[in-house]
Amino acid sequence: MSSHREAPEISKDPVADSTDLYAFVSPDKPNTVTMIANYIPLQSPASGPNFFEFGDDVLYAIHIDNNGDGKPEVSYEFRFTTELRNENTFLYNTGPIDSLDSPNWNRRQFFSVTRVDGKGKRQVLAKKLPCPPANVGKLSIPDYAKLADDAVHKLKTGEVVFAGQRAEGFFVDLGSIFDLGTLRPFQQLHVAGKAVFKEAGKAVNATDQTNVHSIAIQVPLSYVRKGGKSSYRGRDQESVVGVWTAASRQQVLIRGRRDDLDVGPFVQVSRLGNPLFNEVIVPVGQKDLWNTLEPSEDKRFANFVEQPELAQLLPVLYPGVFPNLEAFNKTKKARADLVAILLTGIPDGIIEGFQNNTGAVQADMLRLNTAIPPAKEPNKFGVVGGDVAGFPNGRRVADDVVSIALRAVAGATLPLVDKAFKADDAAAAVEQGLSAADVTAPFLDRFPYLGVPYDGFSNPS
Amino acid sequence: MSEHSRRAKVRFTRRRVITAAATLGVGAAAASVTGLSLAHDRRGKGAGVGENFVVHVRDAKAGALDIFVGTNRIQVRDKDLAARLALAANG
Repeated sequence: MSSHREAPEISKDPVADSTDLYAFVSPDKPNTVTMIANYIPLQSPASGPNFFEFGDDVLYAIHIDNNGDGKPEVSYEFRFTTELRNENTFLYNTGPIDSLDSPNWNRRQFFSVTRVDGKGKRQVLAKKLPCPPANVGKLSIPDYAKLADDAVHKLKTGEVVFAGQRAEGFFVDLGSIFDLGTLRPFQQLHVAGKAVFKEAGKAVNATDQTNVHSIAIQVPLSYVRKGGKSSYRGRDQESVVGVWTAASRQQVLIRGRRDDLDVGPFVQVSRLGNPLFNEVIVPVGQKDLWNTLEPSEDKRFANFVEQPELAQLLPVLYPGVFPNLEAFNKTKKARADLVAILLTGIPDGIIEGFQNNTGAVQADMLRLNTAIPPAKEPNKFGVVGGDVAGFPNGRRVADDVVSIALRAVAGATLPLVDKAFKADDAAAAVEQGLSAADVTAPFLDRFPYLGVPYDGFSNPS
Repeated sequence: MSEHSRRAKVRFTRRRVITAAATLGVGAAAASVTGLSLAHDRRGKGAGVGENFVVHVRDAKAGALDIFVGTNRIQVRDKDLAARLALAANG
């Protein structure tokens, strides 16, 4: 998956497990950037009596680098507190919840927002903002959409924030991909699948009808750009920002019979910039380490980008389909295209009218050229599909990042930096076979963009 | 309430912590003490009255200790203190 349960240790700590990160120029407010960090993967909507919630003991953050050093110049930190109205009931709610202060809602969560600059100066922007409840069911929460709208908070400092449950928007055919790298649309060509399948199959969105918890923030472009300018040209390197999310826990925990004690400095336990980086690029023996590090440390993982395991596997899994990629692999040349896409950004002059380069420091960040306006007709394949407003120029909620990554690794982007390489025909055609249409809950056309979470009464059905 | 004491208070939830041992080189063992005088080695204000803190003896022979208080980790080198804690740990 994008980053759901992507490393051994964080897969055991879902409350701190970052699953997806989005960063895009807001289509309905193009003078702002929206950043969404999702946590707590694969929530079954029917999960009472203890419904999913953020961790009071987790420090969640969205970091922005605007000078290319792989370290944050702007960070937004989010902390949560949980309050219980009645300790003497086992119920999450004792009647319908029709407002964020409903007396029927027993276990509520609130959050604070703190902005931290590159020198560590902290500014608390808001305290005790209410989260919406989990979507229990239509009897408990008759109008969930309105309740969630009420939980969108506009801060005096100009930011708009939301923290709470949302429908999972990331679509992936997880079952097939991790069954020996099968892609159902091409299963009959798979090295093992050709003995089983006579024709192409239809992809399955394995994450459909599950929920996540989203931390979303929309800020004026000038808040995140270097120098705070409100206007840049697309070729200006200062228009590019690198974004990542991280979750941290205090270093020591002492378990008590009733209460726990958390003490010591916060240490990072989860990180996410580009989708699939830790999942597919970093080998399992180093995934937990990667989660503890800042992007500025990512040079140590560059060799896994230069020689990605998946690029080696594709010609083996699909014999005869990727002959040019197979020949390139044998040369042992570094994949400069993938290094640019994932670690430095794409320099000016490679793709006409586009760049999202942050300089020489190799760091896994979701790079967004904030001077590129939103696309009028977005293409789910993003830059690979000719739409420079999409991944890997930031990431929008409907971008098919799995297929984009597949095409890039298969060699579709290699001719951009190696004119002698001719991509295999399959590199431009390979995909997982899914789109936003395979997400049951529709995306919103406004903040926080991810759909209304699936309710527990109707899902699963 | 200070930032330290606010962070060090016992929390409402009970949940597993994954320590980032790779980042800070912290081992698994930790010694918890209360009422121990750290006056000769502490830096800054130290722990407030009634505040919980945790001492981790990283290397008893070298006298290397970490004290976790609030949101800080204070490194201390005190062979005598480490030896006494090691003795106490043996019951």
